[in-house]
Amino acid sequence: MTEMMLKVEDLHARYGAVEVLRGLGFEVPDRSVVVILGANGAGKTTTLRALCNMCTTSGSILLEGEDISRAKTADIVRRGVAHVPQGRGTFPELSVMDNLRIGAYIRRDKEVNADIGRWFEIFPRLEERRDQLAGSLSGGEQQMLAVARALMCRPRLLLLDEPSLGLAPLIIEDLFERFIQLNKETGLTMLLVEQNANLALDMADYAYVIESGEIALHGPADQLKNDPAVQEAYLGA
Amino acid sequence: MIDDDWPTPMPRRGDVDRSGDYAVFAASPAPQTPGGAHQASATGSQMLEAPRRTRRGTSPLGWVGAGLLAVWLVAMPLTSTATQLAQNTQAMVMVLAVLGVNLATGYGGMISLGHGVFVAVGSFATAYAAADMGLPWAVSILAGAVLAGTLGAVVGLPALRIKGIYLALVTLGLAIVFQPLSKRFTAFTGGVSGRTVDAEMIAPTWFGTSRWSEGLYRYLICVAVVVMALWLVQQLVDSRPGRAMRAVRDDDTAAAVYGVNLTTNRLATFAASAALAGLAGALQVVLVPFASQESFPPQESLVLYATAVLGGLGSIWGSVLGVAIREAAAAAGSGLASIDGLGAISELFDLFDDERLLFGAALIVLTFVFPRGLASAIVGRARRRDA
Repeated sequence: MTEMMLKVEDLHARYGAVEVLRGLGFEVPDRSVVVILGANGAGKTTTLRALCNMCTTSGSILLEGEDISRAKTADIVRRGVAHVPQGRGTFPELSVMDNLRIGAYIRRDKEVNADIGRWFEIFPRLEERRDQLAGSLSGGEQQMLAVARALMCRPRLLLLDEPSLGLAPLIIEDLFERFIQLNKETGLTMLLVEQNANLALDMADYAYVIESGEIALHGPADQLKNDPAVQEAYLGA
Repeated sequence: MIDDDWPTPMPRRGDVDRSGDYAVFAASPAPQTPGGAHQASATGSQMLEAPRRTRRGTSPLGWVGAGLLAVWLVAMPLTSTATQLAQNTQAMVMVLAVLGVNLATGYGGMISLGHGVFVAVGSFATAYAAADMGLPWAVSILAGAVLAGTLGAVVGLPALRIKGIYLALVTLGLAIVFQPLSKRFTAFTGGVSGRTVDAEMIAPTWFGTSRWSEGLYRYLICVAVVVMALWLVQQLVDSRPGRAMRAVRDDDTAAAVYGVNLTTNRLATFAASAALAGLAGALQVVLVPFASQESFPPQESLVLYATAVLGGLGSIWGSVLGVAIREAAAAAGSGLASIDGLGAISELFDLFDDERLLFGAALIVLTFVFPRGLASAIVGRARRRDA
C-alpha cells in the first residue's frame, strides 16, 4: 500500500453563490506525479486554491493523514505544500535572488544559499540572471523562477497550476523535462493541473479528468492517454 | 500539437528510482538527464530571448550628481546668511518626508496622498514637547517621529483592505480633514493662527554664538539626521522584512503564500513611513520656532507625493533628487522673475515669481520624459519592466 501524500474527499468550493467544485475526491501518493486535466472553467485552478485554503471550501483535505482544510495558507506552506500559481506570479520588480529568498521566507536555517545553488544547477538560466529583475525575464524563465521559488520552502508537495500556459512548445518541453528530473532526483510529490494533456500525461503516474467541478474519469496516466474519450477531448486525436 | 518531428523527443518516463530525497540530492552533483533532455534544454534556450540587462551601479551622471550634492552641502552654509541657511535647511529636511512617501508608495506599494499630515503632527508634537513640556530637544524630536508613526499605524489600517486609487482617496481624505480639525485643538496647534515654539536649540558655546553659527549647528544636526535616515532606509529595504515589503508591493497574494504576514508588514511599513514624515516636521520646528496649520494644506501632501514620484519611487536617491529638483525650480523661478529691464520679457518672467509654477511645469515635462522618475535615468536603476 502506497503512502498517501494527499487525500481529498468530497471537496466543495464556491465563489459567492457559484459552486465551482462539487464533491471532488482524489489521491496523490507519496513521491508520485498526479495530473488533473480539464477544460477552461472545469475547476482546475480552484482545486489548487482550495487545497491552500485560498477560497471558501468544505470537505476533507488530508495531508499525510492530517486535516488541513481549516489551516491558514501560511501554515499550509509550513507543512510542506508549495503552490506555483497560474500566470507564474513572480515578483516582477524583485531580482531573481530576492524572489528565491522570499520563497525561503519562513525558513530560519542557514542552508538557504545552499538551496539556491542547488536550484541554480537545475535551472542554470536563473543563475545567469540572478541580479536581473524577474519582470525582465522571458515567460519560460519566469516559470522556472516560480518553480524554483516554490522549491525554496522545501516542500514535500508541489502544486503546479498550468505551468505550460503561454509558453512556446519547446520551452514547455524543457520545463517538463526539469519537473521529471526533480521528481526523480528528489522524490518530490507533484500535483499538476493542465490543459496540455499530451505532455502532462507523459509525465504523470496517475491522472484525473474533471468536468464542471466533478471527477469524470481517472486512471493511470498511460491508460488515460489511450482512452478514446480523453483522446478526443484533450489530445485532439 | 506536439508531434514526433521535434528534434529532441521527450524521453518516456520509465521506472523511477524513488530512493532519492533532499539529502541524497544534495550529495549528488549537477543532475543531468543524459542525451535528449540535455539537448532539449539547449534547443529550448535558443527560444529564450536575448538577456535584457538591469543596469546597476552608478552611472557617470550619478557621480556628477553626487559631486554637485557634496559641493552644495559645503558651499550652501558658507554662502548663506543666517536666514537663508535656515530656509535651505528646512528645504533639505523635507527629503525625510519625501523618503517617507517613497517608503510607503515606492517600496510598500501603498499610495499616500496624506503625508503632509504626518509632517504636521511631527511639528506640533515636537513643539508641544519642547516648549510646553520643556523636554530636551532629542526627546522632543523623537516624540514627534514616534507620535507621527503611531498615527501612521492607525491610518495604515485601511491599507489592509484597500489598495491603489481607493487608498489614495482615503489618505487624501485625511489630508483634507486635518486642517479644520487642527484649528480646533488650540492647546496643541495654536488654532487658526498657529503657535510659536518658546524653546530654542542652543549650540554649545565653543561653536560660536552668532545667529549664523547657531544656524550652522542646526544645519549639521539636520544633515546628520537626514544622512542617517537615508542609510537606515536603504538597510531596511535590503533586509529580510524589506524584501517582504517589496514582495507585498509586487504581488500580495503570492507574498502571503510564502508566509509573509500582510497585516504586520503593511502596518509597519506605513508606520515607519509616517515616522519619517514626522521627523521632517520635528526638525522644521527646530529650524523655525513656529508651527501653524496653514503650512499643511492638502496641497502640501500632494506636492510631497509628486516630489517622490518625480524623483523616482523605489530609489533612495530619488527622494533626494526630487527635493533637489523642486528647490532648483523654485530658485530658478525667482531668479528669472528678478530679471528687470528687458521690457516685455521681464514682465513675462514675472510669472515665475510664484515658486510653484516651474515645479508644476517640471512635473508635466519630466513625467513624460522619465515616467519612472529621475533616479531611473541618473542612478541607473532601471526598474522598467519589459512586458
